[in-house]
Amino acid sequence: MSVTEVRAGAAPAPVIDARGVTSSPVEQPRDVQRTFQLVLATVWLLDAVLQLQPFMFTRGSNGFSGMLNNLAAGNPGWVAHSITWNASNVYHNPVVSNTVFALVQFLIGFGIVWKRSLKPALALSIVWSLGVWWFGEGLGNIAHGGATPFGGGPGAVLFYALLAVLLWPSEGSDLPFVAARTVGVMAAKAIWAVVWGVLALLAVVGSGRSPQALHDLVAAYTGQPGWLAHIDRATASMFLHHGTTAAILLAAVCAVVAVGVFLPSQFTKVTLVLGIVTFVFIWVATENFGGILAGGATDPNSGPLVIILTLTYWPLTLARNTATSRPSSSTAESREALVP
Amino acid sequence: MTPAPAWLYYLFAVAMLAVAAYGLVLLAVSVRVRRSAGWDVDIAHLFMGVSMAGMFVTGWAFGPSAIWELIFAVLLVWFLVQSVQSVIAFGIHLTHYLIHAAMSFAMLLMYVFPAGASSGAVSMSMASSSSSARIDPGLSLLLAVVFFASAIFTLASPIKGASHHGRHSRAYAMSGSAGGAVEAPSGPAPAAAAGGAMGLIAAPWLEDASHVVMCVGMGFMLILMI
Repeated sequence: MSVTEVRAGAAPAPVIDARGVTSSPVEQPRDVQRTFQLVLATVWLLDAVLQLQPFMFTRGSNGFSGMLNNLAAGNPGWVAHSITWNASNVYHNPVVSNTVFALVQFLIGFGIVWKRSLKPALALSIVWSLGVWWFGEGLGNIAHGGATPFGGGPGAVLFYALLAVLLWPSEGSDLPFVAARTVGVMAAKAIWAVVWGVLALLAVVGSGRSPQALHDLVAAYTGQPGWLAHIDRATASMFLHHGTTAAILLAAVCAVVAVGVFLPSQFTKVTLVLGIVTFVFIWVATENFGGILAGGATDPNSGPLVIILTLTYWPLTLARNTATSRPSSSTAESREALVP
Repeated sequence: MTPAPAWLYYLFAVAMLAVAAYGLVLLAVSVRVRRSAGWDVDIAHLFMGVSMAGMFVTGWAFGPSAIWELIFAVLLVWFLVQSVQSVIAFGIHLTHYLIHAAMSFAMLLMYVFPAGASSGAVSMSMASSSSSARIDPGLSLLLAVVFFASAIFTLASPIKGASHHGRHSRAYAMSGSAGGAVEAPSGPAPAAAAGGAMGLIAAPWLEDASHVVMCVGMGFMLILMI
């Protein structure tokens, strides 16, 4: 085959064979951390576009400022005051403030795409997420015991910040799992245990185990498409009759998932699948896709973020080592990675 | 109540028209340099851009819906056939034709279920309360997420121009995208390789940019239709 050097690039050079088929000269596994960063960027882009919905630019109880104002209830006085202060600013400048909010999210989403702006974008996403958690999610209802994971507790936006930390760019291998690449295996496992431990706790404290509160959480959804409303009715009924059992079951599942990463790889995978299935159910049946399908949401809630987080802990057997640009296997290098 | 800002919809409408105009220019370039790849995407972007602009700003809409439905149905079938042919030729892979098929499908849906879209985004809040048939919100969200993912992964791809020409096209590879060792060209020189203004116009990164703008605009319209 006649081959001509056209232009040297950092990326592996594609080769076109006689049939016109491109192939890489050395087949390399995908940089999985980069893939997860781009998935996170996609969620930020979705959030940015959701911020551009017409009602976001409006005043009143059905507008964005009204939505923010309602989050103050139940929080300690000084927290509630800061939330209403922010809502008041949005009320007086709905178009400017919402435009800025949307632009920040576009900036984060597209910033993650380019490697030069990746770190600043992730840093901005952490700061922004914490701000939104305070002013836009009312501390995730933690202060008044309503932060059940069934409703997105302890705050969906915290998972954006957590993912930004775990997916912070670093050279090296994605083994034994992507979340460990930057922070290290032990730190990643500790973070995992804390996150799922908190989820387990929140499932059974406060109104999290109250059948009526769980029923009301789902029954409050309006304007959903027929098929989702049907699921809502079934879920609300289930919560009304078995709400406490469901809360305890969720806590037990979260506890099992929390210890799952400390088990051998095959058991870890089982617990991760359990966590994913649980949060797929939560995202559909109790979070209603974050309320997006009813046309009044600013984000998809915690479901997809927890699923992405879980996937970053999936044990890998083959991954690209960006430090050496060579594929690494789960045998020798993963053993090295596990040894401090 | 403060109305939703009209400037936002004009902004998106202008962006859609810019993509359409760029598609037209690319078509002209393709004819000029006898480029065989990517013209179908250029045609799709031309029609999508013009019709989307009419959805964002009611006054800019023209032509009967039936004609637009026919156009996007034909484009949908074309890209589906191309997808199948690509899989037959190169094996199972995620061909770029699929995203263009999805975009054609979304356009078709917007015309078949016009509540929200064809009445103009400026009056979207009124339209959404109408009793006429609507696209299932779940399908709208799914398509929007697919388009946003396409936008992000297109921008991040080290292989530029793949959104127009795919990763298997000889003509795309010759147009100076990701670079590296490639087989010497045997056909007509593509536009980008020709250099000068024509090379700049048909630059792979600019083709990708037009795809990204179209993805974001279409995703936004689908979110508005929920």
